[in-house]
Amino acid sequence: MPVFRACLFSLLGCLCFTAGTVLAADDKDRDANAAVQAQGSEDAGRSLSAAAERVFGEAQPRLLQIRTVLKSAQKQASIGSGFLVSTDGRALTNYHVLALHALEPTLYQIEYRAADGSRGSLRLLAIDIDNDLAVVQLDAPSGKPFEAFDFARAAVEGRLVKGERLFSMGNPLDLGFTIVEGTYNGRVDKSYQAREHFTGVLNPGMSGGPTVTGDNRVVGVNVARSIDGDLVSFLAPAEAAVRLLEKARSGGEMDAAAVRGEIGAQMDVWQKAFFAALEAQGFRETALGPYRVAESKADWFNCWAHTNRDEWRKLRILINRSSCNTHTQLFLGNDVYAGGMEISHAYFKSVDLDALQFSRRLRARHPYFPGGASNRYTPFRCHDDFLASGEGSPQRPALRVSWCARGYRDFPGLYDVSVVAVTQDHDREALVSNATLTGVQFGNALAFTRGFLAALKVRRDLD
Amino acid sequence: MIWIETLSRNKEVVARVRASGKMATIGRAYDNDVILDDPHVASRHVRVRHGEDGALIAEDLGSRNGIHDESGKRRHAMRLTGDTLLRVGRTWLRVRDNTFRLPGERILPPERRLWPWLLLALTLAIGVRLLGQWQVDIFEHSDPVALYVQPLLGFALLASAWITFWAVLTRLLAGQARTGLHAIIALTGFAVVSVAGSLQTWLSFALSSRALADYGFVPVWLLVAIVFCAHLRVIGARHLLRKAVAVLMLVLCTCLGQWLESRPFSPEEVSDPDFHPEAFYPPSWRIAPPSTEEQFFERLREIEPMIEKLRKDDAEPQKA
Repeated sequence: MPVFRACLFSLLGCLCFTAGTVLAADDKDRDANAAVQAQGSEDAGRSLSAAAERVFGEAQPRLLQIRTVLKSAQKQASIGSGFLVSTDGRALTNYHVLALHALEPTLYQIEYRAADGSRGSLRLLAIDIDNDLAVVQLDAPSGKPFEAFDFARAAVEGRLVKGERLFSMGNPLDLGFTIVEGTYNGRVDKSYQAREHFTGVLNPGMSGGPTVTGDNRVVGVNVARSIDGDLVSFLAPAEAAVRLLEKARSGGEMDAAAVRGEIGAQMDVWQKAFFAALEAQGFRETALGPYRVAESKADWFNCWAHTNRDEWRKLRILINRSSCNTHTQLFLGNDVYAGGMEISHAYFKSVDLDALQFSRRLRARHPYFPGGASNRYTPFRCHDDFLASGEGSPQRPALRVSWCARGYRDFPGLYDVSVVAVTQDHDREALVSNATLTGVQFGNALAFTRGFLAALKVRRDLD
Repeated sequence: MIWIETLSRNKEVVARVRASGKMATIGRAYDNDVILDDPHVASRHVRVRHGEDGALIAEDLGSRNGIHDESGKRRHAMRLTGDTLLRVGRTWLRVRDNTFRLPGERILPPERRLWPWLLLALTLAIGVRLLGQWQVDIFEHSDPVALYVQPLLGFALLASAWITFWAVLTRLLAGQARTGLHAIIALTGFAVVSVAGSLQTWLSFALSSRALADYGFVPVWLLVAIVFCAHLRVIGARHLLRKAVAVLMLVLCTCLGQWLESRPFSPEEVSDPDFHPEAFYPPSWRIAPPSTEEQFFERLREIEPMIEKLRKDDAEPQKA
């Protein structure tokens, strides 16, 4: 079996640290680009490390390490980073850094540690599932104002140019606050989610830390890295962070029920937008033997093809596969993701296999669903059926369909769904199609299934 | 002339001793006409003689354990009809004289020629085995020797072992090996059970039934039970019902075991629908009528409340 490898985004594991030193920001009113240019000339005679040293020196008092602490053991369960964005103690981090606390506040609490060694507790104010962001409030120990980061206006307005030198900060692997230099490489093209491509090393524990320009203005929040490539890292965009801060201004502290309710509401909005976008992008008809399938024109699908034609000197069955994946993973809780969609089609044609042998060679199984602990999902419930030809669309062949779904225990209304359809119009030729949706609402899954099945067609007259 | 027969616990004759006098004594001592090596038998235990009416009578000679009739009742003396059994110590005896009237000889059954049936069963079994292999001869790297010859050799070995086991058992218990009959039963049984297994997977596809795929092993095991009973029947027809019940219990245990095993061990497996491997057949092998779009989606809609129920049911104990 070929393995379709694509760029898999892995969330940075949470590790923690505190930070907190403050250097006065440069003139806050200066335009970000101008600032960068000014700084470029300023740094011209100095080494690169001197620039990083200056940035880090300024940023240190605004950096935080965020720890999720298991209350019963008073030991950290996960760690990540964060950064101050207002003088009254608002800070930004990733939602996944404090998800344990957000969903189970009776078991876990969250704390911060600053670079000067000060520490305190945090209150969760707002979350953004799509961008994996969260706003927290620090309890001011002394009452004196905090130092805070500003956002780079160019980044918020989407005017940041590729090649801009950036600095990412955080506390990797609980080793201490660290600064990493890298390059801005624009919005990720093949992603439905808005992600900034940062070429630089992000390590577990740096999640939630800021990535800044040379004048210490935030362009994004560290969120993920590719496990397949080197130095390929991703940031949540600055504009999403700004939007969430705005939203946090009006709300109070969120308890677990509020978090769950908010996730449900956000997923609702997200899915409406996603399926509308999918529809709006349109589909193109792709041929697999006499079969026609609809493939999304959206460029956020990562598609791969594979054939076994060149694998054997004498083939007994021809297998052409194509597979498209959005690689979207909305982090909801530990080991629980939503928003993923994978669609694959495999065309089987017998070379010298008899009808019975051919049917034996068909592989049409539901994919493996990554699970984690069972109590996060219900068991699967399935329905197998034969569907008559010509329904849904006149050219649709008869189908054998197996449809399975499981529920998310912690998030009512969200399901993992897999549908496998095998054409039943020929005994030595078949199309095996599979669609997998994660964290989808039941109604959306049904509507999707309807469209998915209707789009499977056969055109034998062309043979 | 008196014949004293020692019987096995199954009431089959183990030894037969002729006492030429008018009477015979039975006991452990060497001055008896019939000597029994049974520690529960007295030195001189029983005397058998003709009564005044000519019938045989057994009398206890004052032993501590006495003599017992077939129902287990202790008797001082017993009239023996020739079919009467008596127990002395732990030994069963039957006494007859030369006037005992036997039933007429049984008519020999016509000579049964087993080999045509044996040949048929062998062809059937090999055919089924090869057909099964042919169905998995679907890969590019198929090697005919590994695919057809090796499994046949393995099958021959296993079948021989199986048949030999039953033949030896039958020889031990019924005196006659009856290898041919066992071979026919074993080979036919194999073919039938194999076909039934395939039938089960086909029906689960053709009728679109997950229940058949999950629990279809039960009828298959029942067929295995029938094969077992057939082997046992060859050994002997006695207590056939008891044997059948014993085999049935065994099969039920096997089914239970398989059911327990098919249930997921770890929670991870529950969430893996790959756990339901599906076998496919050519489209024309379908039986169930195809559903309409509406029927299909109606069934899918029913899944939502099923999952919601699962979610709620499990939520309760978790909080505890």
